Amino acid sequence: MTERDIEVINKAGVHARPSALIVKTASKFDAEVFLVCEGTEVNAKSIMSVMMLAAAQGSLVKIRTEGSDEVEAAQAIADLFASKFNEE
Amino acid sequence: MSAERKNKSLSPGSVQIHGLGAADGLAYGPVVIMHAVSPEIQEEKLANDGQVAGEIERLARALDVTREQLNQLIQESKSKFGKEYSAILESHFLMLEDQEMMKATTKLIQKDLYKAEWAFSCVMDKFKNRFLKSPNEYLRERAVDVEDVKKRLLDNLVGRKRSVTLSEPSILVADTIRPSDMAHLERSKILGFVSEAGSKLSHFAIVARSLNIPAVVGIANITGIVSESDHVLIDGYHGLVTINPDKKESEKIVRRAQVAALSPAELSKLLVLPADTRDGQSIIISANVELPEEIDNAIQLGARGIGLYRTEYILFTKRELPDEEKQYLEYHEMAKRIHPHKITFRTFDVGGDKIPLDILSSKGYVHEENPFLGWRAIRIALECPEFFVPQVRAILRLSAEFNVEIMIPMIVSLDEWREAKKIIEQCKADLKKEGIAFNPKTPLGVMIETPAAAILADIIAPEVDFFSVGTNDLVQYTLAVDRGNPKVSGLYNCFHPAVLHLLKRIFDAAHKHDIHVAMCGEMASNPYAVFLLMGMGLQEFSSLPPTLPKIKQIIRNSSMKEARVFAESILKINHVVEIEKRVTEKTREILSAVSDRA
Repeated sequence: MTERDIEVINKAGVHARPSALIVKTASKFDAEVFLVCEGTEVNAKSIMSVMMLAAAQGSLVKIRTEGSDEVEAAQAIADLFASKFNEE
Repeated sequence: MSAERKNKSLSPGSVQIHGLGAADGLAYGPVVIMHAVSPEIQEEKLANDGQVAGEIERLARALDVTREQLNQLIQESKSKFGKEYSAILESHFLMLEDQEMMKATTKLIQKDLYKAEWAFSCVMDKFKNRFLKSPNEYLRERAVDVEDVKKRLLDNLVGRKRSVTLSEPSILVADTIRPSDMAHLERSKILGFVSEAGSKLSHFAIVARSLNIPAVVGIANITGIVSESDHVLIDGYHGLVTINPDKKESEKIVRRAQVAALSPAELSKLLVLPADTRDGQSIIISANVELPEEIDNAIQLGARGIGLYRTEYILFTKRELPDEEKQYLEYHEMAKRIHPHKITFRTFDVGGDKIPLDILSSKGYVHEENPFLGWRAIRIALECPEFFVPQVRAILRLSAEFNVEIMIPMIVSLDEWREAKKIIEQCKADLKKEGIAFNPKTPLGVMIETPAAAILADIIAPEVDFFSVGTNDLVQYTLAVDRGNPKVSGLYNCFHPAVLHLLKRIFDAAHKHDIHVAMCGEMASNPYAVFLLMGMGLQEFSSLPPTLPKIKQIIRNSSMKEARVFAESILKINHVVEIEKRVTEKTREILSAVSDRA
């Protein structure tokens, strides 16, 4: 299991388009990918779950991955957050 | 038959119902009801374990078919309804691949032996309810998307279709208009939308605004109140729906606001001709727009520039404040399309009535009883440089390449203008220091839309490059009439002598100080006002694109000399009814004598 703690730094937070990007990225990996925010854990390969997370700017999010390519998967999702979802 | 409907016999002619305006504009036409054909899904189980594999296979096929359909819609809609809309459909596509949804649905089929329809329906409802319970309005609206995806898949599982065929241009009435419903419709056949559910943030409302289709939302049971034998007049500015109003009167109202009744032959002839009067005076006709797509249409209809670009539209669809670079790219797209003609950027004209609140709430915005007299436009800009500066910088950067102007809304005093100008000059100094190119002579002007600014026109004029009159607010503030209140909206009239005298004051001040004067309010789109305004000294009409040909036709068939005499005589009349009668008669006279000049 790999875990990474990150902060939502893009202004809009995790809204529709970032949610789609997370799901598309997570789905590229075999590992299971979860996001934990304020005690709620969601499957990052589920658009409806990720949208419900609606993490606002400044929120702390934990990425948890499990599987053969878990390290790469966690890195890819963390990169996405760090790049502010290529929005800004 | 509902209670509302019975009113009809009490007040012969029409019933008026209040909802919420979700997209501006007026439309009149026959009703087409899009019925919610939600297939009745029953709690049904499979006969035995042996059918599980087949049922899962059936679900997988339906998912495939639905994804395929969505993909096709995404491709089609990109050209038809724009990028915003196809992004919505893309999120629907992902919902059909949602891993949690798949897991839960498969489990219900395998463990509980439910049929695919019931299993899928239960799972989607669960997601939908989670969205509905959210305290966040944006997320609550997403429940509609979940429902849309659910219905779309169920239609394929049970083989039913939710769609309407519009044989003639119609007003579409529905319980809810789902994003995917629109993809099947022909743009030219949609006159307007009325829905029971929805808000300004519904996806269809965003798309309707982007396409200039009027929309009214939030009218309970409207699909039961009207029938397909009815005609309705919808007013997206005020959220009103009038059932079976007087046909002639309605058509007149709509025509005045929108489409100029010109034959295709007249139209094509007019488009290549300049907006010059018979005695050789040139008038500029330009357009009011919000979206890049509208510009091409405006050019085709004869616009020689954009007299009003409502920049706040980019806040509406983004729900966040885009940074300088993003704004630059959006504006670049606009300026490029109208080039080499000018484009006047009105800086964000936002306030409580037309802005997603989360953008301003962090700046101390609280709900206002009267947003029209509240914290809006320049008042926000001066207080929040982080709101104003990136926009000014983005526009200035464009000036290096294109013909752009900056217009400041809601000015009530010279001090405000000076303060705004100081910020703009600081932006210029910063850009210069950073070595970024811009045109230092970029015209800077004010929108005259408050009685205060109109009265001070002579004092403001020497310090600005141009005026543009916003008549909607000017009339509302001058006559103290809320157009949204049906009790008093009849008093709203741009031909009121008080309004005309203020306009004259503004035009005279502009001429005296030799600055350009335009009008971008609704009055500039009113054909009956053209001759009068020309005569009073207006130099540029910035109008709704569909009215441009008619305005040009009136200009081309007028003489400026006669217009001046006419305007002088009108300004001597003290009765609004008499003024309206005279301008209407005069305009008809001009149009009835349309010559070969077209």
